[in-house]
Amino acid sequence: MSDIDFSAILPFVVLLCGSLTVLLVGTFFGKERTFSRVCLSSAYCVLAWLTSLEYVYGNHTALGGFLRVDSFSFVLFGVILLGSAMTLLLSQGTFRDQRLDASVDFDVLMLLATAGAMVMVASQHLIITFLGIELLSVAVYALCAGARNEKASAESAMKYFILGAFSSAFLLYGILLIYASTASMQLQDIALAVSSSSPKDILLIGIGLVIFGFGFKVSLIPFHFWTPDVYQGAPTTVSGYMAVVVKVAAFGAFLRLMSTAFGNISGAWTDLFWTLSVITMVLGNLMALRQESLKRMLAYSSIAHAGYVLMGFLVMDASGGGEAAVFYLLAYSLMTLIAFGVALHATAGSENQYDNDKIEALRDLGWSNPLLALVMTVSMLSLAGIPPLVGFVGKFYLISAVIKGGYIGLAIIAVLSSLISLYYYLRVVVVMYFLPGTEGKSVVRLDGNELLLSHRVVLAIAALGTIYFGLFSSSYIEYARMAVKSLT
Amino acid sequence: MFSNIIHSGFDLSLMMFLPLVGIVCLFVLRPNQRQWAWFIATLFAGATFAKSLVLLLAFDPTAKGMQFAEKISWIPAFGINYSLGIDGISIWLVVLTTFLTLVVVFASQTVTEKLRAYLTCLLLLETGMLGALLAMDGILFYIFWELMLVPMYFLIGIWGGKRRVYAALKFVLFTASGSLLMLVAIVYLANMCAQQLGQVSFAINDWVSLEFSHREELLLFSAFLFAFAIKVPIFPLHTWLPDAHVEAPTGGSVILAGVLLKFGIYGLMRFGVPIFPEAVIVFSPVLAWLGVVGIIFGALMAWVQTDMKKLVAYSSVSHLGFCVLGFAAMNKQGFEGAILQMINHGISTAALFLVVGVLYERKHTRLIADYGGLAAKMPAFATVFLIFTLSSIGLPLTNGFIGEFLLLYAGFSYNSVLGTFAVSGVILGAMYMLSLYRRVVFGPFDLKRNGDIADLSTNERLVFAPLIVLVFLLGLYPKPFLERIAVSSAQALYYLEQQPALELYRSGEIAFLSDSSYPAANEDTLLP
Repeated sequence: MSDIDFSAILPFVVLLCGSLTVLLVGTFFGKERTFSRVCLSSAYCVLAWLTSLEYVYGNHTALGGFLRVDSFSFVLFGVILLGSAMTLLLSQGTFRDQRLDASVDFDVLMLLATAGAMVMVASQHLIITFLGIELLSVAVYALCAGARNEKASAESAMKYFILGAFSSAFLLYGILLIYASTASMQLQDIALAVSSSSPKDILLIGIGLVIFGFGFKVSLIPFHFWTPDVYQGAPTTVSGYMAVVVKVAAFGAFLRLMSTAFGNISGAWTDLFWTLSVITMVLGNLMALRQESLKRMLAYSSIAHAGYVLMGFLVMDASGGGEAAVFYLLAYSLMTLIAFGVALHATAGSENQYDNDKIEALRDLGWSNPLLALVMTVSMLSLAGIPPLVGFVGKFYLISAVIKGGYIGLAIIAVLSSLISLYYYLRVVVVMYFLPGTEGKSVVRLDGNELLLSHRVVLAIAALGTIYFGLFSSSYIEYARMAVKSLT
Repeated sequence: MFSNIIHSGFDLSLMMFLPLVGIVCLFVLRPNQRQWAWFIATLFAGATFAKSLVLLLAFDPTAKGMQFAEKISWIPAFGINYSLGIDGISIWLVVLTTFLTLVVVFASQTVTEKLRAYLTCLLLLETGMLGALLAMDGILFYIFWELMLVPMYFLIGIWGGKRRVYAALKFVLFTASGSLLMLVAIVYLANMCAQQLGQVSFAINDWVSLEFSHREELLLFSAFLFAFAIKVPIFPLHTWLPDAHVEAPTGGSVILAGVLLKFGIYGLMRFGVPIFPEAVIVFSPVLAWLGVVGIIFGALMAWVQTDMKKLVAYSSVSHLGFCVLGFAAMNKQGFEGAILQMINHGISTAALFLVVGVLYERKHTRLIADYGGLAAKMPAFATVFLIFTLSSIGLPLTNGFIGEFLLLYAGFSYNSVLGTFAVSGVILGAMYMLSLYRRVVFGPFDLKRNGDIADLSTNERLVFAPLIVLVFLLGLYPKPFLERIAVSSAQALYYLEQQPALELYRSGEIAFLSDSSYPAANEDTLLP
């Protein structure tokens, strides 16, 4: 416990300093979130990412082995920080009339939550993982309630809080049982204890409870009930943050836990993961089919995508499922950020954003704002897995891993469920391009000028990334491979 | 089939990406005037067509294997290469694609709304189609195969008729459902490469040397067949086609019928025959029967239509049934006839859709009953229509005849019962096409409704002229066309002749095989 490698915790320190600075700036210079102020907060994310560059190849353990920053951390830090920076930029000026927007609290909470997400990904100790989850979750509970004069926002925060606490309880109880049977909470020690003796029932129950706990966080079916309500009720930027950063962090921590600590007994939960991923993919997509609200549709779509990622967990070992899952997380983040970024504009125009988050609100967007519609189209096609966009490469990667692992049936179910998803993703395109705009109705009509610079930057980067990583995925595939290799 | 690589360079890539450069120009130059947008698009479609003609002239009709091949490692982690090539099976389809795209782009002046977006879709579609025809790598093929769907979806959905949303979604969901299963099969094949050849590979010529168990081969081929059968479309999977055709704008219908439908047969020849020869033989009786059902069903459905476009759409089902029959007959005439007939159908049906488009633009109705007696008012139109009607029913001296003749010959030598049924398709074809012509062009002229109808404009004449030339060129002198098909189709056939099953199959002893081992195709001995 003696060594404290400060270079290893630098990214966390940067984010914490960042949140303090932003708070101070807000205190002395007023709480208005201008473009430069938002840039300041997101600059901290970039800075944190830059300080993590040294983990690309090297491993650092910090705080007595509680945190381990390796290439896995580096890659997922990249995704998390990208997601946070973009959320910060997107949140500028999106809910002007509400108090949260005028205050820097949003940035502070966002930076703290991001630090929590990074802790989760880098943690080598179950209690640290739990602390990371709580740091992230508590900040997000507050963020959900951000639109204070909206009932739905408060309801969303309440739901997320209660169910989040519920899942934390599962997780803690699972950790307890694991500790009871292996006498350790350090992942490496657990791995040692697990491989030296045949797994006891109590351990398996513990793992099961942990899976349930993470199942809530990444919203696998049947632990998904909170997701649509919370995503719909929360301010759209926060929903985007939950769909991207929270999910990536939870999957990252989950992947590290499963492969580092329990890699040796990965056969034990095959059936469970198979079942969870199938019902999550199929039901998630089926339920998304009939949604009228864009945000609910995206919520169900994010559920379905969690099912795809889980396929990677099933074939973690030799077939490269872990890499595929890591790659998919990047792909998913880019496309989902765009989707929520555009959803923001679908909802921004009206008095009450919760009345008008219908997919129908995008009517005629293709002709009134062609670039925004084009970006949304790229995102929808990518989510549906149409080549040559990044979503296709991600799905392809997962499906090849699954086939390599011998689960042909699962691969077929996955492609069929993505056929279902094609229908509702294309519906957005239908609404944007094929249906004529209706006169007199409150259809959002944005001029190109109305898009804030920060939003344009985010959407442009994400859309170009979606295309670029679809065409030239090689380098990122290498990173994903390296990341997973560093886990063992 | 793919081992002899002749002539390296980036000719194919250049041709394939020219339309994309055109799209970039359309956006960068922001042509505010319709004329300019039209001019830029025509320029690029024309350049692509010119490039394909240059390739056609440089194409060596006697050479085996792929010509103008290109290969660049693309995603090495998965063994995916950017590799292109062209052979006798694809060369004419490539030229047909670039030609019809040029025709459609040229004819797009009549599109009144959102012309720039329309042209963008057409050019993107062209890149997708060319890519799918040229790709020699399974994933590259799949990417372009899917890429074709997107612009066609927009073409139907934005510029289509009343039920365009339904038709566009139906089109995408039908075709995507087939291709997704194909994706699973493609990945499975690459994975088999890893086991049998030591490394993951998506190259088609690596797949050719794979060895399958009987069951594996049938299942994998079924996945491919399903995708291709939807595209053809083979009889029970055809239901998306009439909807898509009727709702699509004229340009979309022309490309759909002229090129997109050909990808089914093309895929069977490119993937099915060399990789799964045994399975192809096993499935061919089913295919032959379904082909004949398609011929007759399509023709009968065409006969009862009241909408001209729907009539032509169903006639496509019938014509492609001939191609399926020819493919399933598995002999020289069948293969060559199938490829030639794809070209013929591309020309005649595309032209017929343009003919219907001419009427629709003038009167905004496609119902046969709304016309009649046009011969007096529109003599040039009547002539053009007659030429394509005759070409569609395969009158000797027009292009339709040669292909149909070869296919019927193949059908008879394969199975005389099927051949007889197929011939009835020709007769039915004459009936529905001539009755269409009679009802539209002759008969009483409705002065009140059609009094102001004008004959073909200069532009329209320019659109039809090259098509008419081709109708007669192919009809009178098909040799240069067949010549370039012959070597590749012989090679494809050779894969099948390697199979002991083919003899049994031809002699009618087997329908479905029991488990048997068959010799893997040896690349050194490509031709007998």
